Amino acid sequence: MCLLSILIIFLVYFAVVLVLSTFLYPLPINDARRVRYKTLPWMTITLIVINTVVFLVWIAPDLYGSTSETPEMELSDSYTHKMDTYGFSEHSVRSADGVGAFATFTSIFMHVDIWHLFGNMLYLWAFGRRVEDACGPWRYLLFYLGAGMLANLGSVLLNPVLDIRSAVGASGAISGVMGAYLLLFPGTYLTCLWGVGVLLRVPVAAIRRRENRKIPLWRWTVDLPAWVLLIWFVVQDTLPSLETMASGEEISGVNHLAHLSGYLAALTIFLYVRKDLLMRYIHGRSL
Amino acid sequence: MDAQTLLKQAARAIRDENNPQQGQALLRQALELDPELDMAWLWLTRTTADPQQQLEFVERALAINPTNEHALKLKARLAGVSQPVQQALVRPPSGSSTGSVIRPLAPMGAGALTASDQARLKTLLDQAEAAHKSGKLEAALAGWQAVLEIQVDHELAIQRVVSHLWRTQRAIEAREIVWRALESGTTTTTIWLTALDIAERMNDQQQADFLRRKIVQMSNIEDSRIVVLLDRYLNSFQVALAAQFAHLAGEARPTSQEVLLKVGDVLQRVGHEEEAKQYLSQAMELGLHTKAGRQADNLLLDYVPELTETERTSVWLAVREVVGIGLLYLMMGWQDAGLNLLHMGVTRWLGVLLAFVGGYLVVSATSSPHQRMLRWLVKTQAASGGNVRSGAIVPLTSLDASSAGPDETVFTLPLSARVLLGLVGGIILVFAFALVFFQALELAF
Repeated sequence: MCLLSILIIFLVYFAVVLVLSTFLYPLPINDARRVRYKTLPWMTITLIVINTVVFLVWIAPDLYGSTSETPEMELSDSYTHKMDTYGFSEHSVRSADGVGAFATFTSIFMHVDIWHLFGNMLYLWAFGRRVEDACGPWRYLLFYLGAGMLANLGSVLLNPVLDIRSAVGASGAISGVMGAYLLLFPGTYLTCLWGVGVLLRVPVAAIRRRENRKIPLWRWTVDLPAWVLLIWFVVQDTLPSLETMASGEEISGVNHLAHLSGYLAALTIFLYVRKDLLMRYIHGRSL
Repeated sequence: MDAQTLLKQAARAIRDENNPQQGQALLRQALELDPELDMAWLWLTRTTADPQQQLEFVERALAINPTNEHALKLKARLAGVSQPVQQALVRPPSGSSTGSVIRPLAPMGAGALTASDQARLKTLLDQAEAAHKSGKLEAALAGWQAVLEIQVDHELAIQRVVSHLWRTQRAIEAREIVWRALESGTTTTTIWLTALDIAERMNDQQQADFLRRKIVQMSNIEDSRIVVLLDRYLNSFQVALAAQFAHLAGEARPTSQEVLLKVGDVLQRVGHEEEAKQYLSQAMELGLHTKAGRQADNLLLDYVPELTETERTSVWLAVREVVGIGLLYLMMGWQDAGLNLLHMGVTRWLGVLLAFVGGYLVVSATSSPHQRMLRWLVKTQAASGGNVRSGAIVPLTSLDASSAGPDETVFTLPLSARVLLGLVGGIILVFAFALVFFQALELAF
């Protein structure tokens, strides 16, 4: 098959998956509101680029380049080795196995598959720019790495069982960014893909148009308040996390404990935000 | 009861009972019975504090009896008092044609109307409205004029008359009528606003300026009317006028959040950024929990961030950032020690300590070069000789402290010192990283 055909098939598949996955649950795609300091979010863009490059150049060839002839796609040894070596696990940190504590950084920039990468980077794009604007690029990077570190630590320390499985992904750090967003900008709105929301919006828009308000009857996206979305995400992660903390088992394959720890790590944002923004926050002024 | 009796009763009410309102009503009744009672006009001067109105009453008395000594003496005395008021009002040119429509000045404002006056007013108004509806415009006009003879500042009558006169290209007459109401001391805001509207349409800038100044100072004018005026000037692209009126309004209404917000908004739009910021800050300080306060705060987001001098020179705000850096190093050291603080060892703890030191140097060089305790690092005084105002707002021109220019009132570490501190701090941080993370680095590389 030629490359173009593969690309088209992939794009169609991608669109179908996107529509189906966002029909019931909202997916934030953009925070289009004005940011206070009007800075270019180059650190967010850089993080997205680094994550993408690491995946495409280092992980994807092992993941999708497998020549296995069995119906189930078997992960290559190289892929598994990378995940085990550079992913974060309590075992590797405590016993200085693999790269030891260095995995706290490497794991943040690794993803298991394209959807893992896509989802995380989309959330980083939606929430990270405003938080970067609030901190400045370098303090934002420190916060991002710190939140990722705390998320990793939380996921192992809150789990009563010594887990030898490695965890990878930026979602712990991104959870920290999302938590910071909730703390600093709860009143802003996020543009979301949400099938149910788009349908529910139609009668509301129809009523408002009868009141002579000029709004479109149909939109492909819905604007939702940030606090609603973020609290929903926290609740989504809290229950499975409590289960993991009780039983020590994480059967879904998603490290909910890391997410929850990342949200808690958001409290450290006040060590990194710009001075004047911190003073405005303390005095109850808008950010 | 005859006119003379009423006059005596009025005099008693004013002089003995200190009741000018009762006296005015009685005098009005007396004048209805006998319009040529010059002493009644003279006693009317005792029922008002407005020198201009007093002078008009005196003129009426002298018109009836030119030899009335009391009136002459009073006129001489009043001429010196009321002159500035007459000049301040900037009357329209006396050469303007008024035609036969303008009747002699009616003396009364609404407050002094008797019951019979009010009944008469109602009758005249009804007749005028009926004539208007049936298309008899001149009859309607005459009716409204009759109303104004009784009450010179009758709001509805003025609206009708002015509207009719303006439509029929009799602007000067319309202005005359409105000004008579103003000179009677009316505080009806619509009449003042009508006068302003007429002055603006007739391009009488001097008169319009005067009226604007008066209007913003009127205590009974709603803030919303001032806001509407500001919007009007802005929307008609009268930028200079909008700015001028905004300043007037802002100074006259320092406690009105609505006005201050609008003033700040207008000044922002016409490019007067510093003044806009000042008024918006004022609006915000009046209350952050009101809609106007929040709007003002949001508009202030357009401006560079500001810190008070205390905040800018605060060591604690710098230490806050250092704690963030130190925390990261502590977590790295802890992980490198196998998640056991007791196994961190001297090397890693030294690394954490150095991280705090290096972090402080880097923070001082970059985002906090104004800390008070850094003064001892430099031997030269601040440009202001240390004369720094406590609590003054000192705007930051840029959050990137390295690009900030010299500040005349707040101490700033010199650029050379900042570069040195930054380099030394950076080196210490790199060294600290090697100390806290040495095992991981060995495993990784």
